[in-house]
Amino acid sequence: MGKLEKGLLLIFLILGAVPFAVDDPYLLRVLTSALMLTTLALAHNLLLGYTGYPAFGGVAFFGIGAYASGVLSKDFPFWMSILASAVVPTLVALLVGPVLLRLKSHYFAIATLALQLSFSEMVNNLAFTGGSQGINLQPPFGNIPFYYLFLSLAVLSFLLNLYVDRSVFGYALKAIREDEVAAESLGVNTALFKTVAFLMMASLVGVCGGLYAFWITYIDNTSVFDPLLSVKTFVALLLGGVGTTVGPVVGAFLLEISSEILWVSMPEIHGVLLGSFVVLILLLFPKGIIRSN
Amino acid sequence: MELILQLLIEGLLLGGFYSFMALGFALSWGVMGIINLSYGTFIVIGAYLAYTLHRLSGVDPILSIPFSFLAGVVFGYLVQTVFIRRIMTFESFMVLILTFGLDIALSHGLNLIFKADIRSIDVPYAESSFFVGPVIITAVKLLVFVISLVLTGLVWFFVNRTWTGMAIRAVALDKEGATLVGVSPSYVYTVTMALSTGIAFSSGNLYGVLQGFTPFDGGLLTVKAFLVSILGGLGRVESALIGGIFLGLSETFVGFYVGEDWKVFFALILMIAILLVKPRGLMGGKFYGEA
Repeated sequence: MGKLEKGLLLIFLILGAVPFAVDDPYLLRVLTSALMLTTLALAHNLLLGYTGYPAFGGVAFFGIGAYASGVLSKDFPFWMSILASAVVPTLVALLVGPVLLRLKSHYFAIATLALQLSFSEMVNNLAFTGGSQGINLQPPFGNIPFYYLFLSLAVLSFLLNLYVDRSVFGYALKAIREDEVAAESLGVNTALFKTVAFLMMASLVGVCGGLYAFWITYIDNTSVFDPLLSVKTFVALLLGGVGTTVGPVVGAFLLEISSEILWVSMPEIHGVLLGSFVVLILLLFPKGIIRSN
Repeated sequence: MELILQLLIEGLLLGGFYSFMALGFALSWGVMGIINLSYGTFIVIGAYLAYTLHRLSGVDPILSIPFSFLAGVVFGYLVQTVFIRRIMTFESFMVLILTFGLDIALSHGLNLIFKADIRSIDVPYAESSFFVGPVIITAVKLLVFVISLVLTGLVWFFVNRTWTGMAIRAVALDKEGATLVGVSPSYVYTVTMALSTGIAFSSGNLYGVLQGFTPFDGGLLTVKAFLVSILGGLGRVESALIGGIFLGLSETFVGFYVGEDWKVFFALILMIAILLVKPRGLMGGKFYGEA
């Protein structure tokens, strides 16, 4: 492991001690959101960073996961619902993945975005998903366990990124990113490997959505299939450094915390400042803050 | 039968507007490879420009189209030279994020100036309509349709018949080749972005005439511009026409037969289906340069 990666694991350890050290619900909430964005960015990194496929609508699985646990939460216990929020998105990804992954670059990005928006329209119009009323959930516990769940999910995503970065499996993905035809000719089963990466992303993002639904206790189509969330994920990923293990974490925390600070200090012009901030950071770090070697 | 005819006409008229509206989006995507997420908000800025002019000096929003176009050209020039040119050479998704940042800043900026209330431009002919056989035609929709077609024709002429237009197609087709014969890609990119933004601003005038608007309408407009570009393909100006009318018809028919709530869903499913069968859109052709 590199120095940065060890440093990051240390930071995760420190984050684990935060609820013991400070009793501040507000800080905990901001950190929980940042950890959620971290997981989303790391999950997308598996696909965009290592495999070269930009799933711009990957947040579709966030919504599917949230709705899977939302619908099940009425009759089943918390853990079953969370399990469903991993399984259902993975199954959906298994259905659509092999088809969508035939598309490349911008076209893939837009097809996945269309998938996200069409799911959003669908749950908004179907009866068992609550229609435009959305779904109310009963949180099984307070904020601190949610903080730890999101933290564990972020650490898990980070370890998965570390694995992909160093393993033979990851080398195959990187080969696909660099040149898919060449990878195929060297014996990489590109269709299989791409799909596996896609499934990994979908399940992580799905669990993230399931946890989010229980944490926020209310979901509707505009909140969990929000294109703004897709874009935030990509900003975090590209800002931090795509295709690196540490970059997405740095990007997510930087974006979430600066957005929060701007929101608290100047609520009226928060949007204008946040937009300008994103533009400014991009002009300063056009290659991302952390660069891959 | 009459009902179907009525829906066909409605869809066609709406489609004409969509075609022109999406033209600038398809242009910057096809030529520069930029997906401009702030495109919808550019359209909304055009609508507010027309609104302001109409409120202050009573200029008809149709007559102020050239003004909006010029404002758009200047704005696009600035966006290109100040922001996009600096990061175009890096990871292509960086520009996407940049335009997203721009989108947040601009839409919230509009919200600061105009507040979030729905605004509309009251033109004297807004209410008038007439019968053609069994079909009712609203004057505003017909007017917007005709003007969209004329403007689309002008863009077609520019891209296909002028030197600069041909230079744009040359760069889109083969950047190195165009450079070899003395076309400067940097110049072409600036012109493309200026033209694209000009189209966005001026279609804002039409949008403002068609319906009420708020500072945050941009997102849905960007999605529709996406849809039109994908449905038609990025190949030519005419393909935007196909895509726009396709979207207009699908929205009108689904809106009527299945329900207003489902029309976006169907348009999206249609788009995924077309992408899978013909990844380069109905009309094919990857770049503006391919004849």
